[in-house]
Amino acid sequence: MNELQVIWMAMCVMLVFFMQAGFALLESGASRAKNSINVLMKNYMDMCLGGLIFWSVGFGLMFGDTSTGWLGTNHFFQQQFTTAEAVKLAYQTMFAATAATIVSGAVAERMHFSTYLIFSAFVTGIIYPVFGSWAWNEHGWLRALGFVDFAGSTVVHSIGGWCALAGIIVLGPRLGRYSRQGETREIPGHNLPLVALGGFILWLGWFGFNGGSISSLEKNNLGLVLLNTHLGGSAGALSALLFMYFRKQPVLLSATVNGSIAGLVSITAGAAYLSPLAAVAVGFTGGVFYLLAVNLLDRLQLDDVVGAVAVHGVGGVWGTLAVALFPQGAFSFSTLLVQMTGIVACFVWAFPTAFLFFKLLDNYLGVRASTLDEQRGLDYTEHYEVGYPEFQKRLDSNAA
Amino acid sequence: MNDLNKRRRQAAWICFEPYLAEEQLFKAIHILERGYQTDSVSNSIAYIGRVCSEFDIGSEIRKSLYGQFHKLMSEGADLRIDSLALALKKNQAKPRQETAASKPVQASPAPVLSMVEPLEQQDKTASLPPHTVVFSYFMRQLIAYLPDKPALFEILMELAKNKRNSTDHISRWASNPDKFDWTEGLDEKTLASLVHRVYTAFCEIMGPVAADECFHKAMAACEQKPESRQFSPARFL
Repeated sequence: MNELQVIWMAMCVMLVFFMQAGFALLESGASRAKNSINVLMKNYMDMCLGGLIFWSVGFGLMFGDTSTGWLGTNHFFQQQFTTAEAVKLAYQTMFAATAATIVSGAVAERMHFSTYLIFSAFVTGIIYPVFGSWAWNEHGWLRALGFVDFAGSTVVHSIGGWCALAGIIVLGPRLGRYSRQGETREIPGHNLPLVALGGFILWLGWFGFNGGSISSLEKNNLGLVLLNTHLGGSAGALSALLFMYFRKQPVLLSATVNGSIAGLVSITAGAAYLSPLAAVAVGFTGGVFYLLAVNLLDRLQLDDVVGAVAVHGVGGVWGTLAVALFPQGAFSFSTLLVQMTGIVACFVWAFPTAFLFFKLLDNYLGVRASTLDEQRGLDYTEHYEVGYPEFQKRLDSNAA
Repeated sequence: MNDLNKRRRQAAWICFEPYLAEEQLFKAIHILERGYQTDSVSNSIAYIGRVCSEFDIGSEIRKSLYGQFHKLMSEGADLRIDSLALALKKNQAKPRQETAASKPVQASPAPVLSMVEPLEQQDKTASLPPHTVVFSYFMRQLIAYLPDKPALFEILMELAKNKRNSTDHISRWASNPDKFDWTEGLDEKTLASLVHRVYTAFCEIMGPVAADECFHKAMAACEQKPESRQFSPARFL
């Protein structure tokens, strides 16, 4: 890596870090006011804890030397490295934190803070780096097959999405979210401007998320990567808007922002390889798939507060498939098969592992906040703070 | 165009009929005729919004009405109501009534129960501890918001059985929802636990957003009571 690349990558570290703010604002805005602090704390701390865990254990599992192609075996608690190696570690740490924080939005408003942190540590320490070693380690078995995931549609976003799916299944829906007759009741977020701001910040960070993933092989494609990233996000937002409009549904800001995020997730796997027209098609389709997935989850009564499973899980799958469906050269069935292998391997690894861990946590510590805590709001019951003290009544049992 | 206008009237009638009295329905149709007979999604949304604001229909119902209205407009099935003909017939049959009692609207503010209680009731409440009085009043306020009271008691019984709690209090309450004699002797903790179960039941019946709204309004009304200076209803939450 030359000096210019190191500087660019260092900037990307900061941009991807700033995506945490985007996630925090989007998720907090999409939750009710009485849970806003709890959501922010989960985002803040999974970044902090994730960073420490990934540096200590995850990086070694993911990028350490491996003879089998399944797990790294060294570079734990890394102390010495070159500038380029340090920047790479810092960059990958931000990716790990991104995978973990995807879960926090899905499980918002009813999961204990302490058990969430434990789960987050497990994601950044085990689930994410193990799969990452298969796909991105030089000797990873998936990589050896020819699996392509440029910046992490599957490695980061689908991993986060499937962990989120496991979480919402174990936790169950929020109180009153679904009626006994199966009707879905909307629980609107308390601050939609925050949701929009979060979307903008995520988009900004995505230029670093994708742009920093260029290697020496793709360095000449930086402009294409940045352009495709933007086109994917734009097309995703537009498709979500048109989908709602032509179905004569109210055109919602939250769904439009999520549509753009779905577009960004979708383009992440192939940003360096797709043509701009293909990037538009991929992002556009990603937005549609997101809305269809949200409807499906509601029909299955799987309560995902921010649509994380639909955006990151389903968007990640589509983006990874799109690499094979929109090739630069001729279409190849074997490439498609390899991409599908990677998608399936990701699900088979992440979902059951996360599900079992959630179940273990639930058995020994309890993951779900009580209905009384849900009524009072997790801000007060978990953190003894309220997000808007001048506007929220403190439902305090000691109040005279 | 006339067919579309007619269909729009029919759809509006069908949508609002469960929530509005007859006079209000006619007024809603009149609003449609005056300014919302254009064929666009934004027009439909604006019309539904206007009528909901006019007759204080809650946001949850409003959202479902958007979808229902659109569905009725896009379906091919014949709608058998002709609201305009009904209105004309009504005008010919009897003079227009000035006012009509409004149908209770789901999850919208119910009239606050009178602060003045009968004298014998006042004597009785004077002897009860403040937390009991506040609880009774709080529950009366809350129940007034419910269109389907039996559903509340059904869910409360279920919750009590699930937690292996006694169902005696719930049974006594269910037999006479307006009487709270059964609360005598119950401590604050027991009543608070009951309040929480009522909250859970409200969430199941009307959703958490509407439940929160009802609880906050009931609490605000409760805080007007003199006993709430000694015992705040917030302590139950």
